[in-house]
Amino acid sequence: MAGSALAPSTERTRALRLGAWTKWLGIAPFFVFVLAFEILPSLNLFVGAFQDQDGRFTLANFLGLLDHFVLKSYMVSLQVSVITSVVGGLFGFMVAYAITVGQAPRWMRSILMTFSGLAANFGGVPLAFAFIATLGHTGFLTAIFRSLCFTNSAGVQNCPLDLYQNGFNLYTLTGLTLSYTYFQFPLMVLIIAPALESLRSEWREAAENLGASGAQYWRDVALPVLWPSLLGATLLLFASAFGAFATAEALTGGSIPLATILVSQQIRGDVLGNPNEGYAVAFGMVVIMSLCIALYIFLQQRTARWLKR
Amino acid sequence: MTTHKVNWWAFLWAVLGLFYFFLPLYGTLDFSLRMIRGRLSLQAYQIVLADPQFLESFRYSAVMGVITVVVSAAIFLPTVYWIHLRLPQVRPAVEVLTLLPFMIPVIVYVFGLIRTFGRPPFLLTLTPLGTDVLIAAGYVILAMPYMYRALDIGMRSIDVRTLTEAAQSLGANVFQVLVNVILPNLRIALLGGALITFAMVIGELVLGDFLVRPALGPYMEQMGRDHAYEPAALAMMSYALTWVCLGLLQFLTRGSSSQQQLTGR
Amino acid sequence: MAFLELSHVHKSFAAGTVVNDFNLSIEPGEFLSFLGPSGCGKTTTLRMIAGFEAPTSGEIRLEGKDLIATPPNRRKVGMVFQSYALFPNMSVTDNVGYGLRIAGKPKAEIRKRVDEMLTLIHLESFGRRYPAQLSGGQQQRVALARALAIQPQVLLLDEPLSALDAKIRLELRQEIRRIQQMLGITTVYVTHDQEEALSLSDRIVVMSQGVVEQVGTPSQIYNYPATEFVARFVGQINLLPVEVVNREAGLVRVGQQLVRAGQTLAHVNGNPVRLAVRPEELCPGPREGLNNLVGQVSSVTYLGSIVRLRLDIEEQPVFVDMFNERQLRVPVVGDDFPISFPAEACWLL
Repeated sequence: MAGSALAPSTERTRALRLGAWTKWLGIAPFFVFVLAFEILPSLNLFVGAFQDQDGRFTLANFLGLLDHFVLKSYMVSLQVSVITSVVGGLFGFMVAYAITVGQAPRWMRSILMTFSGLAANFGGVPLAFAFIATLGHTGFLTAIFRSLCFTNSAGVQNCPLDLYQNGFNLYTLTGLTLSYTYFQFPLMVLIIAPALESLRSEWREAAENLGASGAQYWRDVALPVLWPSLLGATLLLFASAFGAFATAEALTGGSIPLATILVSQQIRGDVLGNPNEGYAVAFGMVVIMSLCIALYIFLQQRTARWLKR
Repeated sequence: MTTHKVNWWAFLWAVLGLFYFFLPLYGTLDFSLRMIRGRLSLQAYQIVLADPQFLESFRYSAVMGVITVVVSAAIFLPTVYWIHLRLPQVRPAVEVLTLLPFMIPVIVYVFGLIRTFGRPPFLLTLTPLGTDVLIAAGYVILAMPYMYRALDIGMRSIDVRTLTEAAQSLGANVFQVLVNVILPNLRIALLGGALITFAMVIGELVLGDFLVRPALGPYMEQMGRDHAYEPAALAMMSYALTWVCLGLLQFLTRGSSSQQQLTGR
Repeated sequence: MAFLELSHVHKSFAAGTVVNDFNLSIEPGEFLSFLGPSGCGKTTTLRMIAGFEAPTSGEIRLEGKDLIATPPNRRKVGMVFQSYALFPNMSVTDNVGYGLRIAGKPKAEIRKRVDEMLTLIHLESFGRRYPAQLSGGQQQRVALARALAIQPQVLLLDEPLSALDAKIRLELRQEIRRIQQMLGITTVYVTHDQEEALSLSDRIVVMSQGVVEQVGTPSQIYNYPATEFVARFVGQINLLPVEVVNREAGLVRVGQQLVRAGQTLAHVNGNPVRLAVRPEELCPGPREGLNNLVGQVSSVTYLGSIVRLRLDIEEQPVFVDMFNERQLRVPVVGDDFPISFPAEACWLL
């Protein structure tokens, strides 16, 4: 008697529990795949950063990061990333402003938005080739500039814009910065243009109505509302430049010390003399980039609050 | 704002933007046509297209691209569907996971892949086939932010719950619902994700280079070391291909949130 | 010379003319409404006064001073927007005080004025809140306070209540009128809601397709509409095709029934003539000395305080509105129903 009264409920609970489990089955493939091919390799790397050659736990690898050579790579990477994210960010902001609030002609806006979408994804090796073809020793623009010569009063040929004569070199940090900007500013345009469009025109009109000039409106309303978006986008640009590798290697062949170049050299042949230190370098990079992305997400959510229509 | 005033400041910046975009492109095009001294010619393109190594690399990357698209669709489509329908609480965690490839730069990622799968117990890199499997998985992971997001956005725009319930009331099982009901409605989102993924795999350098497989990226880099004009031609071709892929994407997704499609963020 | 004067104001866009030969003189302290359907040009005219649009031709003068030459951030007009347009990054206090801050007033004075304004709109304790934390009605009150804080010479309101619930709309409507009368500020109010315009205004400007149809007090607009548009747009109207019997006496005929119109027909030319009379002017039952008509009831609609009958008179629909009094005998469909109305209650178009 008691047994039969009990049986239905345990069966039901068992069915329910089974149902709860099968609920998770649906996303199991995803989790397994990500675990195997993203989390596992990454964790393996990070664990290695905390180990010495014999597998014992140590923090000594991180001390090695302070080595002159490694530190320089980080510094140069940071430098390039900061410069390109700020310069590219500002330029991108102005272009985004031009095609949204600034009401540049429609056709300019379509072209710029389309090409921003294309250029933001056009990095890597082809980008390096494009810049070599344009600003390299025998590049298209270099040749044009070199041909802009005139003869001065003394009968001497003077070519003021001859880039390489004047010390410019594409295969240096300057050249790299120029190349990176090519995908940085479109990325900024793509991210900031929607935010700029969400600036309600009534805010500007209300500010004007209360006596504010255009500049005052930007200072008191537009920029305060936009700054989380701007900062977030700049962080994204920073992370993008910091982790870039292909363009740098194709352009400079590894001659410029960057954190990514250093990691690549470490993979090819243990330049640091200590494989675990290589893992530490990689780990450091991931920490920096994760911070950027995390901050970006946080700032995006703040923006969404104010710019929700 | 007055309607007939022309904003010269804005115009200037728009023009500068256009210049910055087009000068390098034009310069590359011009350079690629100057292989023969003194006149324009398609010599550089002809050399590249006749190079058997180019054809092999392109074929390899194209095939890899297709495989990546199929595998990522097969994994992410059910996942997105499941999250929308049954497990919305998992979404924040999953979204963080899909952002991991942004937090881990490719060069670090390949470092991890080699360390993990280059030695026992998960040794894959000993055979070409094993390495191909590894590289395909790597591509799927790299494409994850874009593909997942494309599918997620697409899924959000259709009423998943109602469609599923309607199909189930007519007797369909989960698989049939996915293939016969959900998939056709996500065609555009899927195509968009596929295009970005394909463009990404074609242009990818790091995985191909460090895992030593004959992809297009490493081939291009090698070309760049020893030649002058062919790299420019390659760059133009690569750009044209990206342009076609993303142009198609723009065309297909006109009207929807293009920013998310293109940045994956 | 009036306080605010618009003369021969035209506004054309590429798509067409939006405002056509607009002329208006507004007296100081007046509450004036622009009333009309969407696209009639009322908002565009308001924005021209505010300075956000420039007239294609014409003049706008405030106390004799040419307003068009003044940039929008230097006219002393306050504007309240349909979407409130509160600055999301500023608190209520900062929003209300923004105009004063731009004008460079000392902090103490700003604080005092803001407090006065908040008291005026009954939101004294809301100073620290942000727009996102306020309801629609509260936001609109803050927007009003913000516009008034700078003590403008003219207050402009662009359909300020259309985004709000019906009940809030009613409350705020009375608030706005109360504050306006208290401060005695010249006000221009744009709306498509005739009830708002009729209940709030000293005068109404009825507009249609960029043209002024009529300017008058609410009573004038309602009881003596100058054009068919005004008659149709404001309130309900019956338009009954009739035949002219006697021009000088103003007699017309509906089928076999004679009606005397309260005006001569001298101005009426050969076009089809219609008798215009409002539904509430038609009283049930025949009355001596007045116009009497009989029709057949074709529908009875119960609207709460009003019972609306649809009569067929000579196969033309005529609506009759009766108050819903308890002793009322509501007719049934198919009944013959007599109605009567004075000659002054109708006119001819």
